[in-house]
Amino acid sequence: MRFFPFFILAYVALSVQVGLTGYGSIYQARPNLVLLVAIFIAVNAHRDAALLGCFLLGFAQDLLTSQSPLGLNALSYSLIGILVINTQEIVYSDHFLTHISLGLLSGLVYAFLIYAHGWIYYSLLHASAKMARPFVGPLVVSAFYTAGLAPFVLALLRKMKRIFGFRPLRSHGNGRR
Amino acid sequence: MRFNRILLSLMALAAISALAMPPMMGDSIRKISILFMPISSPVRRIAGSVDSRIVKPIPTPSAEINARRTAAQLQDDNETLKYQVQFLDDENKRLHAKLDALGKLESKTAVRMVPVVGGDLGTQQVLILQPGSGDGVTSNMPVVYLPRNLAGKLEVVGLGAARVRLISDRNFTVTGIFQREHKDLGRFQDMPQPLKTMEGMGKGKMVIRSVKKEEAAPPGHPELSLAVGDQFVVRDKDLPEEVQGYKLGEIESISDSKQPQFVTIVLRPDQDLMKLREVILPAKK
Repeated sequence: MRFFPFFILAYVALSVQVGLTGYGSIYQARPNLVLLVAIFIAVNAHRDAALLGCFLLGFAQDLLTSQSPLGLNALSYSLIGILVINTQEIVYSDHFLTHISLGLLSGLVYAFLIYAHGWIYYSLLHASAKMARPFVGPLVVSAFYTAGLAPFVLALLRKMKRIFGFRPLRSHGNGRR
Repeated sequence: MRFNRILLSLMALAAISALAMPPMMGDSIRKISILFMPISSPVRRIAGSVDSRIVKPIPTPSAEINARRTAAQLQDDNETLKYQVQFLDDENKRLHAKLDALGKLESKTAVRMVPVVGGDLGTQQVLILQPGSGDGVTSNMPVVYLPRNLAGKLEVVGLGAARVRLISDRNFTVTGIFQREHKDLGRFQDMPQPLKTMEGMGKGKMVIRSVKKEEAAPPGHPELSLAVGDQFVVRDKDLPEEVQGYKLGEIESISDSKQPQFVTIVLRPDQDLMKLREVILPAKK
């Protein structure tokens, strides 16, 4: 994977996500465009490059998230990356049903990780800080919202696939990318 | 699985940091919002423009009550307000003339409009501002919006960008009092209820928990009972004098609390704070 186009894509996705905050939300939930970019990278790129890409996307998101410890999104996106990378060989990566199901699965995993972390971190480890842990409702709604947008965003990204220089399946040993 | 060791180490580091790092510790390096402004700012402007055309703004509780008034009542109020505007205009001219004479027209503090360039990517109700040079902008400074409403407090001030934590963010607390607007008289009446602390709910609303029923509705004085549409305004010793009396929100509902003899009051700001496009910051001259 070429990293220069990746950085541009990450920059644009993060900027759009920052700019859209407050708009287009349903029950306080908003679509996670950065997660969709992470899915796109994980589904197409080579294993190590994909994992590094997901980690960097998460870390950049951490830097734009207040009152949250650094590393939470980096870890969450990396775990989602591992999950999606392992589906590379069993799914048809360009099918819209794949996009919806990966969007939903990733969104729900992300919601679970953020909520579980909030419960452990704010209720058990740092209870004295009196910080609020996230609501489960908006996280779950956000997963469905993201899944709903996944076919459109991923179809758009698929048109730019060549720019990223993903290696085709047959060029990797054992069918790995 | 043959994952790169470096990547695994990074993930392990992220996991340790995510669990062990104190909540506010990362804020010192979270000052990169300005880098995303070239795209986030126009995206926000477009989103705001589209939103204002598509989404109907939710009226405040008092506006909803006002909408139910008869034409005759509104006509009557209109006449009263016209008279008051004339009176206040004359009073304003008189006071300006007096100030000019004293040579004190220059105020020590000024205000400036600051554009909102985006929001927080987490679950917090936080907006990112572009205060420009940042002169005189410090943490915990109050942030207001028009006409006279408190939006929140500055939290992190960085290189050309600042974050404002909104009053509706969870656990954000401000102390204030209740006021009732008498539209027919064109004035506000301080309600007799003592100082109360409101708390952000994180869903665009605020709550005042555990208000005694006899405080909310003083026995024998139904005219002093709190009602939907009453305002909650700042009266907080931790906030500067300039924002005392600024509006926080209006009572949206009063419901029985879990404990008997107590009620819970839900407040709603005048507009969806996450959709603010501009806010006002004080700027020292």
